[in-house]
Amino acid sequence: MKMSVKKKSIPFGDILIYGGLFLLMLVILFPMIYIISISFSDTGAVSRGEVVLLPVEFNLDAYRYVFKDARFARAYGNSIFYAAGSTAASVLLTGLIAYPLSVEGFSGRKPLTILLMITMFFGGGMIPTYMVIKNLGLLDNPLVMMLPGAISAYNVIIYRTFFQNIPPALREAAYIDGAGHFKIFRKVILPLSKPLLATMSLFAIVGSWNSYFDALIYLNDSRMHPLSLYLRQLIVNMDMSSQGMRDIMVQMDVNPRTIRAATMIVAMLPIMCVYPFLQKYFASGVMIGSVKG
Amino acid sequence: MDRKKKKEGNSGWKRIWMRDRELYAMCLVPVIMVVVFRYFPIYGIVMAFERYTPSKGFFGSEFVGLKYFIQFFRDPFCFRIIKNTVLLSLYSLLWTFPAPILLALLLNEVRCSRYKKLVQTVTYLPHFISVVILIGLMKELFSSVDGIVNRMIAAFGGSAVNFFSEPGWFRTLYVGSSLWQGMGYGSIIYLAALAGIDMEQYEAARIDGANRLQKILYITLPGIMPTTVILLIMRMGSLFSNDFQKILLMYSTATYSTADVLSTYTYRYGLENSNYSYAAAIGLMLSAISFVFVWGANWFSKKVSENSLW
Repeated sequence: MKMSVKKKSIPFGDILIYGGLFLLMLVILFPMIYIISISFSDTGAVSRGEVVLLPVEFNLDAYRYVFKDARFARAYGNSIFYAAGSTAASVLLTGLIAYPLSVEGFSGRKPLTILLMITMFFGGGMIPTYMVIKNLGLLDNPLVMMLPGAISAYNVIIYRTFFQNIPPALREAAYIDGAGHFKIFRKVILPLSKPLLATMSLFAIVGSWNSYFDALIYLNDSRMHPLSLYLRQLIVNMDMSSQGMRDIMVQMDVNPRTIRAATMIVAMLPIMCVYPFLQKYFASGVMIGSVKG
Repeated sequence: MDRKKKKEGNSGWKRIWMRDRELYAMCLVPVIMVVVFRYFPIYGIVMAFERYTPSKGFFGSEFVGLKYFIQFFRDPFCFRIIKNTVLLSLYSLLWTFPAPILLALLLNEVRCSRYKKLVQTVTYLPHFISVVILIGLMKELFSSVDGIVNRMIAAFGGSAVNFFSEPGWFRTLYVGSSLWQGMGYGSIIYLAALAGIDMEQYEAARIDGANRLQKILYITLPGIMPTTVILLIMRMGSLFSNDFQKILLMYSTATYSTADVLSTYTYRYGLENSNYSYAAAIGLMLSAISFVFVWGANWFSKKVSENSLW
């Protein structure tokens, strides 16, 4: 039986599909492999154009340089701080507004839902938002990286739906035992929502880690810049001009290209570590509704 | 005593308040934040009709009516910016909308589940790469001097192309990178829709002697149609708002002729040159047009099919 199955010729369509998908994977992976190889290669080999796929004359000079750079370390620290803060704020505040909305018979349910829904369709736009933040005195304040984006109507809907699917009997039992809503939220709802909270936290961390625009317009003080802005300067503006940097570069015999590559790799590292966990949740029901945005 | 009695009889408001006050207390902080960070800016739109001076605020600034809107349409760059915005979005839609559908269809045909999983893992990955790093990768690959793409062109006897400073290449790079980054992740929702198609239909089609292509055409595609329509409506709303954060990292004065769009123009005028009201006016037009587009697409879809967003 097995033999006959194996001998059956592979249909032409399958070759096309498997081959096409293989090509697609190559196209997607190549830039990443290339950049990794550059970061580990010898500067001379890089500038002679010898690196095509694998590192040439493997070494860690570029990484040594990156880790020596105080600005990089500070930006990395800032990014971790902002990611932690914004994730905590987002999960807590979204939970606090989603819970009342999930309670059957809550009198504020309709007005609050409308209040949130409107924000999905209307917004002030870049300039008025900037002016509001400015008037609140939040420019150059770390809070600006955590609070303004903490609550999105989209996430509230996901949380609310999840809370609603927790059997109401559990809540009612706690209520009869004399627990208030705060206590129910803390002791019943949150522990039962761990998968949701984990997923949403991961996405919030990635979102915060990858964003640069808010920092660009709200944070002028370069000591507060997150990693993404530091990278922007390094990569996009090709800013390798500061005297101190040039000195180190000459002294260490590194090339801007290997440094840029190494910086990008180190910056991507946390996301790559989280990625397997993120992937676990893609297909799960929680995320289906939020694929867009 | 009398008063108290009256209040209690005064409908159930007080009772409801007593019952729900803890819930109200709970969402107080989030609601304040929504009002401050989402609604204040909406109110701040009035600045588009004022000569806004930061010291006078939204209330005190001089009212100038439609001055800034008229100023925009008199701007010599007005036509170019609108054209760039629309063209970039259209090209983007044309490529990045069907691509995830195609990928999902292909993945659906893969029966080896480990290969399928591998392809998914690889194609979803770029979605999580930040836009800054994406541009960094592109600048390395397409760099004019020693980027690998130009070395390949040279190897085949061509002359080097300065991809990032030639206006003609901007749209290709923009759309190409969107494809690279978003194709896989965009296919997730279609795969979910595909999983919902009744397997018996395929079985019936097989018995009727339908081939693979026919099954795709007559079962799979109609099966994911509702999802497709909904997503298309949602895309309509962003027809006038490109991925502005990416453009901001990609463009330069050399490529303004194809790369400068409404949102980048707003950013430059509003935040770099402090022409707050002018930029706010353009921003307002942008959101108004977007809203009309979503609404229009939704109306149209309701007319011709059963699918609609609301």
